[in-house]
Amino acid sequence: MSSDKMNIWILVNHRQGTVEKETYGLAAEAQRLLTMSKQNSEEYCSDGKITAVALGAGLDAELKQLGAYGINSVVYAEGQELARYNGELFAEVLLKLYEKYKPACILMDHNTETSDLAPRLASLMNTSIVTRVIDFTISINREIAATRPVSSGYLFEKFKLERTSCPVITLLPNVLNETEAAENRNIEIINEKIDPGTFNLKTKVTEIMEAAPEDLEIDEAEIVISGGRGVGKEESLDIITRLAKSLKGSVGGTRPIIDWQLLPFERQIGQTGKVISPRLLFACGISGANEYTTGMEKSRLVVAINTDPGARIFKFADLSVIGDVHEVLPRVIEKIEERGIWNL
Amino acid sequence: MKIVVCVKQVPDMESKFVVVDNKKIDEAQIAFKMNDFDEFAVEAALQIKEKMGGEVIIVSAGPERVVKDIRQAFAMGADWGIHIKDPEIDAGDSTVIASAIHKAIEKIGDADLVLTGVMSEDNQFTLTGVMLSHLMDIPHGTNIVKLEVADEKSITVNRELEGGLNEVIEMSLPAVLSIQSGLNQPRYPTLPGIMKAKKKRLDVMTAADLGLSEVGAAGSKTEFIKMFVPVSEHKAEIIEGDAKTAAAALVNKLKNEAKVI
Repeated sequence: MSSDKMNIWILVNHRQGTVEKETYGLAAEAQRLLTMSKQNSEEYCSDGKITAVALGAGLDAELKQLGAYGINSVVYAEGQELARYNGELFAEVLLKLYEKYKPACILMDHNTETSDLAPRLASLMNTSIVTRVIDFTISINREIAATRPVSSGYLFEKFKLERTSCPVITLLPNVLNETEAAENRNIEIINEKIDPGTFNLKTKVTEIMEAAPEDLEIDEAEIVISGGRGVGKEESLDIITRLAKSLKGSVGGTRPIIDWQLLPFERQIGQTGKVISPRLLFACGISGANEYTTGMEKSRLVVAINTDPGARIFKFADLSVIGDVHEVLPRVIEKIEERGIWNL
Repeated sequence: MKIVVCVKQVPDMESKFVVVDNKKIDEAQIAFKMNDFDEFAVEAALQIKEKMGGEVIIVSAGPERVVKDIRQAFAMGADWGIHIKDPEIDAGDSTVIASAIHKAIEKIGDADLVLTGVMSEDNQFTLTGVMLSHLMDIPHGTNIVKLEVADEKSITVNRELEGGLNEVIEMSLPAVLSIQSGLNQPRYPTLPGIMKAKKKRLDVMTAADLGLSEVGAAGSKTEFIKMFVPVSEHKAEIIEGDAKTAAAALVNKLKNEAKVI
């Protein structure tokens, strides 16, 4: 260990020039880890710190705000080539930064990009990695242990991580709680110039394709209408879209719906898809396999509609209707439109 | 083209999971199957073979029971395979598994393309494919939702990104790709396929056969501590009545009680 100072790195998640809220959740987790290690071993970590590491362009103003979340400093690799995610390049840049600063561990929120980046980085660093973590602890001898769900969340597994190196950990977004900003403190921003030309990249990005702009992402939507096997194939799914339209919500599905190619991947709710926490979620014709419920159990209000009174989904629902989606939903839509809800 | 597909056998997620000694699941209650994501990878490999010619080789690690799903891949059309069968390898973490698969691929020799599922349904680490490409020092793409092999030298793929974006990337071969589900429609084995599968070549290899010295805890960077069942509690209100009555009551509750619409 190059230094006994516990320096925890969190990777800044940003999109279109804005820092995403998961970053603040990571800062809170890092803070928790520091407090825990302090309690366990005074002399080790009395001067522990949290460093945010950012790769991107045009982020200066946003990064200055991070002081309000208990982050002590920012290491910022800026460059137009880094403006958009590139797994190979990002991993190489992070390796360089790691070698220079030798942090104690690197935390990321688990998403499509970090599920690519984290293992790349851990391989380059030749270090331990645990992905999709829901809880981690640090013991008196500075051992890190991480807990993660397996087998669609039916089970949890706990792992100890190799102590001699800097572990890479990705945390599931549903455990990253939103953090209130405190008064902004002065934060040191260290600019790192790294020339991407020095890396011999093996892949070449030729094009970025946009998804349809009218479709709101399900993990950002306040209201989500989701359908499962019980809705049926092909046109049957139209009823879900119609309800989403009348409630100004977004459409999601369970894994079978995605595998039947009725909806694109990014609309999959569940352990292997998106984890969502909308204010209102309709679960229509969904039995409630763990795969799905792990992705929605943080939703504020859940309405379940299913013909089977014994369906597991009802354990997760606040309001339940036992009935056929195709009989109930048209009447729900009718009622909503009749009430002229948007004019009340 | 010589295409290697890494296949993992996983518990069917509909099985009953009972934990024994805080360490493992009771396999007597589990139905095992091929990892869904790997099925898409097998299908992708078969489609490339149909277009370009060549062979599809399956590599899978695990105890005797995994033979069933290697044969399943054979029945779909894969040509032959390697069964990495060594409890010391199974006792290791992703690093050990990736190293063992790497050695097996070296034994096969001259692979043009290596496909894995993007993750396993049970552990969902999303690690093996990336680690493998690092060990092999060849290009890699994760979350592949589309792939086109133009010739035997290079490949163009679409990767899934955050925010509903797709990234189109080009890489030279050999390469490793981690396949996302929904990329294709995996075929069902035909009866002649199933018959032929029984006779296809399956080499069994241990760590010693592969020349892998660091296995089990020695080769691992993480140490498994325990496995346990999480607890969850929730109560529900059932809205009674026929579809029309229930629909009206539901909209009323959402609007006037929960005030969410």
